[in-house]
Amino acid sequence: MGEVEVREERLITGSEAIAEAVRAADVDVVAAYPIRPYTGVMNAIANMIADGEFDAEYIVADSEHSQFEIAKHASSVGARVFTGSSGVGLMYAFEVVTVTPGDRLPVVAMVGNRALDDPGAFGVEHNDMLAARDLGWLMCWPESPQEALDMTLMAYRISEDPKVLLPSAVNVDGSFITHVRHPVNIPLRDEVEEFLPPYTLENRLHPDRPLTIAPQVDQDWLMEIRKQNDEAAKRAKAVTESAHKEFERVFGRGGDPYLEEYVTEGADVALIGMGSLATSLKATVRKLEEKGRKIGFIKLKRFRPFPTERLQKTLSRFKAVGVIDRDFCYGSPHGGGVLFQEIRSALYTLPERPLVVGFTAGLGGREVTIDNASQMATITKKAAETGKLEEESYWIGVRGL
Amino acid sequence: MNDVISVVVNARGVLQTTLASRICDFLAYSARWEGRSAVSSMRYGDSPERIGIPAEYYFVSAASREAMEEHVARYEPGPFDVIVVLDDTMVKGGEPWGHVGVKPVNEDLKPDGVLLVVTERELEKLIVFLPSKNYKYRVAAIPGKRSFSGLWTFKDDLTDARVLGGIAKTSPKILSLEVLKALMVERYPKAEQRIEAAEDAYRKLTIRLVKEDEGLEVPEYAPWFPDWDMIPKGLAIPSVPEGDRNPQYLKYTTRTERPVVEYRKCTKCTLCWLYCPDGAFDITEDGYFDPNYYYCSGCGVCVEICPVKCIDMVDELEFKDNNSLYEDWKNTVRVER
Repeated sequence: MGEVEVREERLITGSEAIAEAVRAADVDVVAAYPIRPYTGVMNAIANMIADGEFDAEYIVADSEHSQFEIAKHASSVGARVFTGSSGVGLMYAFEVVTVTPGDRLPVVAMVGNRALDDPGAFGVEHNDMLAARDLGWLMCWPESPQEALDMTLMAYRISEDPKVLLPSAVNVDGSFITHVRHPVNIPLRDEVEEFLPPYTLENRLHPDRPLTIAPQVDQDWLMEIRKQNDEAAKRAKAVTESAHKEFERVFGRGGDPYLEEYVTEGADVALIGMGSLATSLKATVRKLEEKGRKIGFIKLKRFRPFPTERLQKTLSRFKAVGVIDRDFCYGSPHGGGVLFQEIRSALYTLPERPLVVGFTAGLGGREVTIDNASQMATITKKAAETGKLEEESYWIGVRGL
Repeated sequence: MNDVISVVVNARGVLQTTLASRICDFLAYSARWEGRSAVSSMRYGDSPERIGIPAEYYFVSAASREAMEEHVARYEPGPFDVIVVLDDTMVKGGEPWGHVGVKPVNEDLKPDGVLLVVTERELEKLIVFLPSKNYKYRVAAIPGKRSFSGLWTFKDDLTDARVLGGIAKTSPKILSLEVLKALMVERYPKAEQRIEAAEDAYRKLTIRLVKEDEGLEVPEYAPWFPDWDMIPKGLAIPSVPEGDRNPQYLKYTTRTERPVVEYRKCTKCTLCWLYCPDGAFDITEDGYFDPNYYYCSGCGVCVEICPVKCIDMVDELEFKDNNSLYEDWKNTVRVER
């Protein structure tokens, strides 16, 4: 007694960092089924439970579909739950991925982003979770194990807010975040309790008060329900912002809820992207700055809620913006990936908008090298100088191009 | 000029959907024969694919493709010039209005329209079950048995030809006897017997004008359509408490016959109550099992399972309401004492 607890720093992977967040959040039910690269989180949680460090129901499912069903049902009785998957595993759970937001249940899942089959690959692509783009899941893309831990804690707070009640996916790039050990600052129990108190799901299943959840409806009801979910997704914006403020107050970090700008001051062009590629992009723009070329980088931390106003305000400062997608969007209007489509759309209503060019890079876990990044910077810079785009979008780092 | 013609065929799900489609398809071909634009469609939803549940099949035609367009992408293309009822027990109520009750079978009939019923009964015995309208309309009876097919088979007993003959009689502007005959020759290898059946129905059809306000009180129709922000999140709604039944989910229009219990023979063995797939039996204070006729769908499982054979299926049109027959029996017993 009387001792002041000091936060511990540990060298752990992104998966282990998320496991730390799950334990700190005092999650009640964990639903597991293995698939690379997310599995590490379930290994770590199983170890914690086996070692008596963490008390939770740990249910091993027979497939991802059952796994996400277990999480959904546990959530419907008011339990705080955790689950997760990767790539095709998430696709197998997709029916449940679609119904969970409709049931308005604050399930939190870790998605270790992985390329979709066929052909199979273990490495990162964001298409697995982006396939659920339109369904009401909140999605964040941390850059590091530390951010993964922090954003997992925030995910519970945002999802469980009665104004929101939508599931969250914490997306971490396969290999680069899931499998690499970084020093991570482990939050103290008291801090977490202050930030994330136990919650009560107002309309939860209980034997004393049987509920029918989401019975069949027809065209005379469904549209009103869709509208209600759309409003909840919009309300997530304000709730996310206040969660970040509160996180900052309690833990002294967390920063901006949506964007992190790097060397953007005085630059007339910027690249923007999500996830672990932010780290290599930061290195690139620093090197370029040393050579006297001023290129900014902006990390987008959250894809849903999508920070339209912030992006409009921030990106309109530049003459040209290059959007880096670690995903594909075959046959899209101007090529490029999903983020490129979204950012172009977000900027459309601006009276003065920057030129926007799309880059598809780092697919299937391919590294986004400093050379790749320089190439993207060069193309974007040229667009800014000439005032026009030679092409709307480019594939970067592909043999034969 | 609004010359759109709409016909609905009330059919029992699965058992009569092929029959209904043959009638509506024939009407559509006949409209095309006369140079009109036409469609035939089954009510989109669950009812047509659930055995015995009243369902609807539609035919709509107009003078031109353009005149047709506004009537195509609709679930219920009424009001109707002709409402066909393929099974006369459906005069008690047609397609269930989803979660909101039972639809009167004459609901969307145009003034001066005709309700055409395939029946072995007198017209007057059917009219007593129809809710009133505030305008005149006609009811016609096509003499004939209920035609029920199986799940995978169609029983071609010429009922479709008889119904078409009936339409030709009451509504020659929709289908004239000449077009009917010519099109049957074109469409069917053995057209003679079909034409004969149609002509037989044409001759034997009986018809009666129903006066304004004649008939039963119109059932209450008060659906709950809440605004988007009034719907519980995730559509999590309190379940019907144990032992209660859902007041918005009545099943009685699925029934062509109802189980009637002869309580003198009943041994209170519980099997009917246990096996009833709809949980339709109420337990009386003296331990008998009383079918609740609002919830009984008339499947007959109780008749099959009863070890003392004290339950019989009786034609639905023998009963004017869904009141408990147990109460009647008990009152009789009291009087006898």
